[in-house]
Amino acid sequence: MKISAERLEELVVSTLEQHAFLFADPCPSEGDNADDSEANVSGVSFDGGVSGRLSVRFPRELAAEMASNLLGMEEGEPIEDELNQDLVFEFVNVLAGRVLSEMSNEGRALRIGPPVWVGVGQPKDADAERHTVNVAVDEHRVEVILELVGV
Amino acid sequence: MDAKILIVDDSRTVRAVLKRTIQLAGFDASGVREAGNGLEALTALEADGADVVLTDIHMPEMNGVELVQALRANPKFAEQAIVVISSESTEERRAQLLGLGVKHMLSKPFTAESIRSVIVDMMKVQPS
Repeated sequence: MKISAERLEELVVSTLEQHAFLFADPCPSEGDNADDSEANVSGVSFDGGVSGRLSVRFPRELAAEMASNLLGMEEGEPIEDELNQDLVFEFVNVLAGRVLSEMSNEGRALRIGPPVWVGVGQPKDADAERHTVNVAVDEHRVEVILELVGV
Repeated sequence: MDAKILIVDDSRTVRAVLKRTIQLAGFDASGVREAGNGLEALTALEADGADVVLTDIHMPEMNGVELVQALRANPKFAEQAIVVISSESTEERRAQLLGLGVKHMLSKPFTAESIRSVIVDMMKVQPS
């Protein structure tokens, strides 16, 4: 393992704060009881010295808050699907860049793919080393899963 | 502050976020123009020039590295001030861009202050 769960958690919290002005605190996982009806799950794949995927479950209401912070939209104003997608993809992209940059600095050259939607409940790679981080922004929960294969 | 700034990114939303950050950094929004990829950026520069180009790396049609290479190969834009803004900040990429004469590479997440700092520095070094 080249990045600890604690460090991953720090990066999630600091990226939410620095990129989106959203202030998060670590929280326990809801496991399979999580309500995904109003959340988007997106992720990026990567390969190189190690391959895997970083996926993020991001509530739609929180994406609207991010739009307010980043674009000056009215708070509570509903956002279009395209804007929601762009904002969440960009957050995933920035977070993945920071996480993989730290892993690259440890001698692993990694190539990162473009962000894509990931289906909820998608089969998991049984051989993958998995790190899960949950943070809360007010009443919203963001879950980040880093799966590493070939470590 | 007045500056002609060209934002190059394939995401309309990212361009909007960047434009707002540039405004928060103290620059006049009327001087900011946008392009969706390297090819569009070349067209915009030929038409109207720019004091500073802020470009992403990963884009369709022509990516940020190809844009920098195309500009450096054109005597008209060989000294063009360019800032690369990306979530990809590996040493390998930094070395590649430095070799192409890119003095500033901003890692995401960026701040209004970091944007302001690089634009002011680029305009000071390379006045239009």
